[in-house]
Amino acid sequence: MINPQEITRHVYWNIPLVFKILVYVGGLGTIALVAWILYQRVQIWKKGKGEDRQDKLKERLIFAARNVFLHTRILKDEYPGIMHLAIFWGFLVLFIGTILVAIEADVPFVHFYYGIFYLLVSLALDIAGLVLIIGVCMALYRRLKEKPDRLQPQKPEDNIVLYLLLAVAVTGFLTEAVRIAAQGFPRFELYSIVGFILAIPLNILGINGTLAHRIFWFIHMLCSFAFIAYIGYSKLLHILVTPANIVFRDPRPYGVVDTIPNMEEAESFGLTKIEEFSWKQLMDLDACMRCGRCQEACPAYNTEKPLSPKNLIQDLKDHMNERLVGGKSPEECTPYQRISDDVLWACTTCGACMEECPAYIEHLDKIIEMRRYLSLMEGRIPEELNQTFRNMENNYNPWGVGFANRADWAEGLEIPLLSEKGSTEYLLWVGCAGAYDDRYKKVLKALVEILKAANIDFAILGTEEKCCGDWARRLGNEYLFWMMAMENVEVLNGYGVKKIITACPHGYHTLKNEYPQFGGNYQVIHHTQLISQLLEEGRLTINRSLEGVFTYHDSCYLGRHNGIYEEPRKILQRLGLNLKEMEKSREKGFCCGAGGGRMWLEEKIGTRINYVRCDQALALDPQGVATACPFCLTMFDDGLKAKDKIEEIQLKDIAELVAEAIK
Amino acid sequence: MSVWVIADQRKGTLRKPALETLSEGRRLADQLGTSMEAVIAGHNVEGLCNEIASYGAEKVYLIDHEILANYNPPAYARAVGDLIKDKQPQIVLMGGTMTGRDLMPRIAARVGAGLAPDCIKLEIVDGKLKAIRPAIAGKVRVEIGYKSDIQMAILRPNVFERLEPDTSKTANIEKVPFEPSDLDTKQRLVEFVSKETGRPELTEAEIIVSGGRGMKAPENFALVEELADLLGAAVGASRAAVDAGWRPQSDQVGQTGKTVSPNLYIAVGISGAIQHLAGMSSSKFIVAINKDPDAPIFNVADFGVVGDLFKVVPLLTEEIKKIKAQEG
Amino acid sequence: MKVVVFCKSVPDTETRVRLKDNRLDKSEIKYILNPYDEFAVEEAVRMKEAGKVDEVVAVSMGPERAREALRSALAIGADRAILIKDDALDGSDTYVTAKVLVKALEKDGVEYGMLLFGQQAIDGDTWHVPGQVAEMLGLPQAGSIIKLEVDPDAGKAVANRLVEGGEEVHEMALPCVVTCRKGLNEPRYPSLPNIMKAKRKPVQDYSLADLGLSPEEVGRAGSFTEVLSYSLPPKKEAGRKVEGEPEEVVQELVKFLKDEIKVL
Repeated sequence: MINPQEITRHVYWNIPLVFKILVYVGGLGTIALVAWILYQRVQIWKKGKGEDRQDKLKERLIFAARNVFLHTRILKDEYPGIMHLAIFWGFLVLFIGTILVAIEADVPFVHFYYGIFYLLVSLALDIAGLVLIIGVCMALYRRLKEKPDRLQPQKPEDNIVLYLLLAVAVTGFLTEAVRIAAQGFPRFELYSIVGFILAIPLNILGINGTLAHRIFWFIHMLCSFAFIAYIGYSKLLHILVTPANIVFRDPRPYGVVDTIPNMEEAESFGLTKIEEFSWKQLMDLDACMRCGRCQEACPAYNTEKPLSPKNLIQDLKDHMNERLVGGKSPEECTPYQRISDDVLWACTTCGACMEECPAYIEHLDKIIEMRRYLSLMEGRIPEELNQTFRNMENNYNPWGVGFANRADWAEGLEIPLLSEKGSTEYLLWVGCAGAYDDRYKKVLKALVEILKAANIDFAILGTEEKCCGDWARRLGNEYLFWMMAMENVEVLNGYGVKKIITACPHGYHTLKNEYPQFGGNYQVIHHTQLISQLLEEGRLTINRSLEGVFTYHDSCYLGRHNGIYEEPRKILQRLGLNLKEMEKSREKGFCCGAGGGRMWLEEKIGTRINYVRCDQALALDPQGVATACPFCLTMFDDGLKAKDKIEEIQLKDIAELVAEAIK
Repeated sequence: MSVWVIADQRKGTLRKPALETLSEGRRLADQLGTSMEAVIAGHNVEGLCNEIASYGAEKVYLIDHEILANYNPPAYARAVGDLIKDKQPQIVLMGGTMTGRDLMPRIAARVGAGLAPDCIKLEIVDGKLKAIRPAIAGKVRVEIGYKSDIQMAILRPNVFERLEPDTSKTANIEKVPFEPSDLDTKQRLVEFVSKETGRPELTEAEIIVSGGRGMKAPENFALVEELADLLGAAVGASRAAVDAGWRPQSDQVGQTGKTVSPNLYIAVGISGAIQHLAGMSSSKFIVAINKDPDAPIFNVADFGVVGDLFKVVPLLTEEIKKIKAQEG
Repeated sequence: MKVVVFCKSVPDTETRVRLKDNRLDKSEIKYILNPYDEFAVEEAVRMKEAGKVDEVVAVSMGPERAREALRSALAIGADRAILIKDDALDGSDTYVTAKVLVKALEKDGVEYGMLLFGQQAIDGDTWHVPGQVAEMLGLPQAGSIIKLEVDPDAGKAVANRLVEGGEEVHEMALPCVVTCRKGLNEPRYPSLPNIMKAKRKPVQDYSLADLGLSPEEVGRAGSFTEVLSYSLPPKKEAGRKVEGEPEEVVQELVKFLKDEIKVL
């Protein structure tokens, strides 16, 4: 039996005092440097506006911890997910090991690094080093060989950090190996398995002396300090910033934007200068690693629009640096010199970028802030919007059909008006499309049939309903949105409305998530949710089963923004349809191209988004496409017509299919 | 106390609305049992007087001066207005050409008389004129009565029936002297840019013929173009036709294209999605040709043809050609 | 050079017109700045931005709601506004309107180089007032223009009138009157700071007494014409839809075009 006390290694074995001192100087120096740089970044973020992101801190910390340690979101993309997981855990274990060693060496009267503990730590550290090297090699393979589009353009630092990590790990192993060889291969060092094996060829080559050990040790230390020092000057800063960014993320549904406080007295609107972003919005810019997942998911980028969410964040970061670090004045340089109007108008606010982003960066509110600047401050809007905005102002719908005609669709359908009925369990929020678009009027009629069949107590506002304002808000015309929202809330609260059924995901999102900003608090339910519930409860009976292969297109405002993925699918399956999923569905659903006000803009650049989406649906060779949003329906209708498939493929809202099945 | 018609001429030719107005003037004069007289202002236009007489004008006041050769609002208003003040006719009418609509208010202000625009019907009630006209883009009809001794009205073109001219009549001409004033020289028509040949601008056109996805191929737009040229119309397109690359973006009518409100909009092979309707539903009249009887365009069309556009449009073009040929 | 733009508050184009007691039912109407006047305001503001004009004055005669129309003009970029408002003005015909506007110009004393109007107001659709004002003031006039070039130093303007079959190019000495229509420009969507600023720009109110006019001279009493009655046009039949042999349907269509809507 060997004395457990002898199963150990002496920290700083074979290291002269001078070198030892250098370790403390270098270690403390580089750590101080990183702290200093981080401090400076914090000072820069603090130049942004105040914003409360400290509520529910416990939930925030748990959520962030799950993301950091379990890589819940990063792993959604397999190869880079595993790659990052390897580097992260390898690095983390080595980091912990280093701390243990430091405690052993430097804390007086503390002595634990021996025996079983030593063996297990040695084993763990060797495995961690190996995992780290595997992760780094995966990353290098990707950057040097695969070169995926989303990583372009690459910067020198991208590879430097990898080489540094690799050098730290490799020199660590070499140092260990030479030490084992120089100590004459103690058997227990088999637990330092990588070092032990590596020591054999080194021993044969004669690299087994104390000098060699010192040289490797020195290089290892040099690399380590270089690595630490480099944290502050490279994307490695994300080690510190990104976890914090996740802690302070906005937990609300994507795409919820805040209003402009005190609009009638405000002097400027939208982002006129970078300091008008909140501290968290500035922090977002430093949290971006240029991984490009957002870009890969972005419907605008994928159809040759000038928008890449990654580049947008990077451009804003560069701008932040030239302003707040470089000291240029807001007059000298504006964000709009780097970010063109076309970039900003290209966004469909589909939220795919936010769904993908492992750092939980909030792209949408930044784009809306900048659109606000274009719309409200400059009046620099695409010419076709001029009419749409006026239509909403004068007739409370984007098409500009007379507001007095808003209830015409309901003629002869015997739908009670709330003004006549006084009170109701459910208010049916018809929406502009339901009221004015001939195609979507059919969906509303189907929905009314369903509600009547299930004996739902409901009423409509008729001409008292106005556009919910979604388009105005997404297009940056907060003033117009504000007017719409105030007027609608006043009417709804006047009637004491509690529960609202919407037949449009945009109305759903806006009423549910954004009207509370104006004192409108309602229980809002989308028609697919209600129908699903009614079927479940047996309040609707399916009298004839439908047949055929159908695919369901997720509306972004229903799916990604509000997490409603299951209800529409359940309904379709209950109807007897053979549901097939498109290549991009649910969280990864590809936008139809209408969101974010794009419905009202001409798509002049690149391929039409709706054409691409139609192709994805057509790839399944379905008999039908089901939607749950009037604008998705329009986009598919246009797309399928352009592809000459409209006659072959049934394009239906879910409500229409249900109405057919309960007849 | 006669009925007067201001005869609108351009480049020595009487305008068609002037003939309709003369005809209506004749009818009102007969009803009042008074004479119908005409005024013509211009330069070297004496030759038109007989044509004016052929529509029943018993007398033609001819104001001929170099400065009146082209339309000059102050000079025309003074020339005609002062003559009205002098002769005190009871009723003064003019056709609603761009000249008539521009000039009559000036004359009415000069004379101090009531004026009704864009009339589609004129009546005599208790010996006085009563005018009926649409307002608010045709959404309401207004009856206008006069309190002034002189009653003036502008007649909407293509509404009043034109009489068969009696070419045997020769004009009883009274030449009216005219001296230019300072004001007259402050305005001058320097050029007339003719657009007779090229097609009118979409947003300015009185008639638009638009094609959609139903056209099937770019070369088929020749059908639409031929019909448009025959009608002096502009050519429009739905977004689908523009997207397909059959027509330039500038032809697009609809929410994200141009908003138009012509007198007549002919939609050929356009289904009429709301995005398209938003750009053209304020057209006064809408004709739709589409093979799908359920196409939403029929909900807004005043006249819908359910049928194959490739048969209907060429036939329509032929028929219109025949009518044009008859008119000479 | 200063210019004056005349603005009218009119029902929105999509308004559903209803009658009540032989008058227009104004309860369900959304009022806007007359769209043709917007072209005029836009043109005036563009001249100001080009440095040719130093003040744009917006003038409106109408009830209190006309103030909103003036605010819209101020938001586009007019500098100040005049609102002529008096109960006695109700029922004024175009002649009286022109007379009152001329009085207001005199009262204000603005030394205008140009008066800009919309070609027509979309409610009355008369096209009268600009010509009447021009005649009362003895000014040259170009109506329905789609192009305007002004040279204040040379004291002249060149305007293209859109007429049947082409454009008449008129050269006029300043001051002059122009009426604007679609094709002249694309009115801007006012920015929010400008909308807010418009709320603080001065609006001068004039009553009849301020203009030295008596109630007998204006309103129904002073007008040469009066509205005897309003009626809704025969209800547009739900569009006809014909099916059948192409030869037959084309005959029907031609009849519609020729006899009913008279475009042939």
